[in-house]
Amino acid sequence: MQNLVTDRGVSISVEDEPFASGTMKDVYRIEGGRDVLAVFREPLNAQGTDRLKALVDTYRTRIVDGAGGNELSALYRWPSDTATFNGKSAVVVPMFEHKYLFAHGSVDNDKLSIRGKEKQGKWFTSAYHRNTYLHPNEHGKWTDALSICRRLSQAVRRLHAGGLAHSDLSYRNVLVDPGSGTACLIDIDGLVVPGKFAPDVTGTPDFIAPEVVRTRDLDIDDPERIHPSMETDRHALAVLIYLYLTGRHPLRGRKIHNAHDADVDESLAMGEAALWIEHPDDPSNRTDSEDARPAELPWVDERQLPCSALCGPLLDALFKRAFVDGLHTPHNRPTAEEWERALVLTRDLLIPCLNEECFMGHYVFLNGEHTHCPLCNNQYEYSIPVLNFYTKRTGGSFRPEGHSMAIVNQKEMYVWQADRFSFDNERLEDEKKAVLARIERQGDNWVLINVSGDQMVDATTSQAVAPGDHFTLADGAKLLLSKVDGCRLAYVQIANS
Amino acid sequence: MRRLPVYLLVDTSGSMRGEPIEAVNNGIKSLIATLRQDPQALESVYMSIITFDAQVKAVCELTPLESFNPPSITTPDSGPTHLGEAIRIVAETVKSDVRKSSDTQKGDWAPMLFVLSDGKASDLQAFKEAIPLIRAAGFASIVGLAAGPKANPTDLKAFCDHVATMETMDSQSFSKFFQWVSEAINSGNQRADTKSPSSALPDEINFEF
Repeated sequence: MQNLVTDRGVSISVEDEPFASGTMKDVYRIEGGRDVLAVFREPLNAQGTDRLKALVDTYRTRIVDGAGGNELSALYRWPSDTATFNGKSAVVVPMFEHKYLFAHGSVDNDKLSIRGKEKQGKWFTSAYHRNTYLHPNEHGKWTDALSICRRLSQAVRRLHAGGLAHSDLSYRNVLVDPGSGTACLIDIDGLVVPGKFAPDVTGTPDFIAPEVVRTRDLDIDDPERIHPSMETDRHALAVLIYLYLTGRHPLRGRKIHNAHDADVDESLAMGEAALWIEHPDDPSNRTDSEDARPAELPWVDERQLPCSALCGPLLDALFKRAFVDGLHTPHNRPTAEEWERALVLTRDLLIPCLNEECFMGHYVFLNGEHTHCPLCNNQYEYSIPVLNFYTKRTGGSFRPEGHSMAIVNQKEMYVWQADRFSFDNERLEDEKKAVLARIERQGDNWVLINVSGDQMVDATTSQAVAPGDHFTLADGAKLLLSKVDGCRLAYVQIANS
Repeated sequence: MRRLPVYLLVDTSGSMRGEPIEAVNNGIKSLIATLRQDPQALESVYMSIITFDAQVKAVCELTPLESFNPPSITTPDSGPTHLGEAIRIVAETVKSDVRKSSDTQKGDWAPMLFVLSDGKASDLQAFKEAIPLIRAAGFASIVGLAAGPKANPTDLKAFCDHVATMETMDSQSFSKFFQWVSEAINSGNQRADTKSPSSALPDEINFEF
């Protein structure tokens, strides 16, 4: 044990040997077990030292200790203090939460010996790894991946809103827990502040934006060289989300760009010649399902599980922007906020897969297309009321919002869903998290029971629907959910009947 | 899926007998175990072990990491160090093992070679002739370890990109070396990340205890 005093004046006892090592840091346990000390192997320059100071000070106060901090602090392993250890710069960071360590690990009595190790994101972004190695209790469901992506988007959105770029988003720097649908960004001491703290690294292969790959051989000071930024974070985030939801990389298809040199081929495939495997007009980079291993099918075959069928319309539209319009035009890429919004709203479209063995758990209902699970083809056997949302614009005009909600028995709606300005993130007020209405199947009918909405109106008869009242969801029924600004009106369709 | 072929070339001449070869066996076991815990390595690394004394033997042909079963390497009582013959055979093996890219198939990543020797080449003429062959075999990197007081780093430096030296041949030193090999393989696995500090191999490591 070595005793030292941190820069904030806290006395800590640090173990002599590291228990883990990363690419740039060795990690030592601190007595008490709540925190660890991450020690930089190489000396930091003045900028590096300033950056750490800003992270534990200004940015920590602003983001982790700011509004919604409770929800946000769980999304990052944010440094709380700096110190000097054996003459080297170090940061104090929280120890991993227990849920981010494998409880079961791998199959065959943990043949890979990963029990107790961190749940690095990569294990969960490959269908092959999941199906071949991971213990079934570690898999989670597809819907957990949806929650994980939502948390990642939320974490990145808040960094960007605070003027910070992550600069090295990848499955290596993300821990996930499918069981609780949570994720945590680690190694955030490389954060970039445009014009102030420049990036240290170009990023991790698979996630580096095409414009960075294309210019990475230029001199570090060459003005043509493109460095990691919020725009490149947006590419990395889109790749991460695509990987978690589809189990395949968006740009790794069959196209060969250079038959002589694997490194050149790789640089082209991830850089200037990057092409989405699902590009609607250019099929030359589709995946090769003949090449695929049985354990990764059908996931790696984008023709069997296209992202439109798997992820639904809201996410599909963003993937098109990220990998068609925005792949080589960074300013067209969807922002983290747009991803977060689409991921939260996509929850409204989920219906359960009735096959309990199926990995999906729930899947996205595609209104007017089909009502079977895209993975196991199990047919959904109940009718599905669909609430199509319209929002109030000028006067009495309600315009379609392009968003709807698929109803299953005992579905609850929340107060925040009654208007389009409220959204389920860290800033949502507690009163808006209350249940607004519950929907039940009663015999052949579907009934909405108003729980707490005191401004609900049947928009066909203009009759008030008071708390405790029942409203029958029939084809063509119209229900005003609230009267506040941006209020929503639901237009009912009954699908799959 | 591109494979990353990794070759370990191990000196099994008589002087490796006893603690050194046991330490190498342990080192290989823990190298495999460590690599298997890394999902990226698990996906791409293929491993082969070739030993050399008076004879050159492929004790393990190129095998995916997931099914790789490290053999127990043994040594003869005594015998010469045919390093020249060994690297000639490695160069040939690589030619037939490593998949080339074509217009329709993605080939393998450039392979990596780790050479561990505690002596010097006794087949001097063959060694001289083999150096250009191994240099032209297309390795992304060749790393040598000159182990113990009798090792001759000059031989290794003739064909390796990096040579590490190790004063003592005990298990602790070997285990540090294999730990470092695993980091080198993982950074090779991340090769497109050219600016990452981990991908730069040190020109020399010295272990002193």
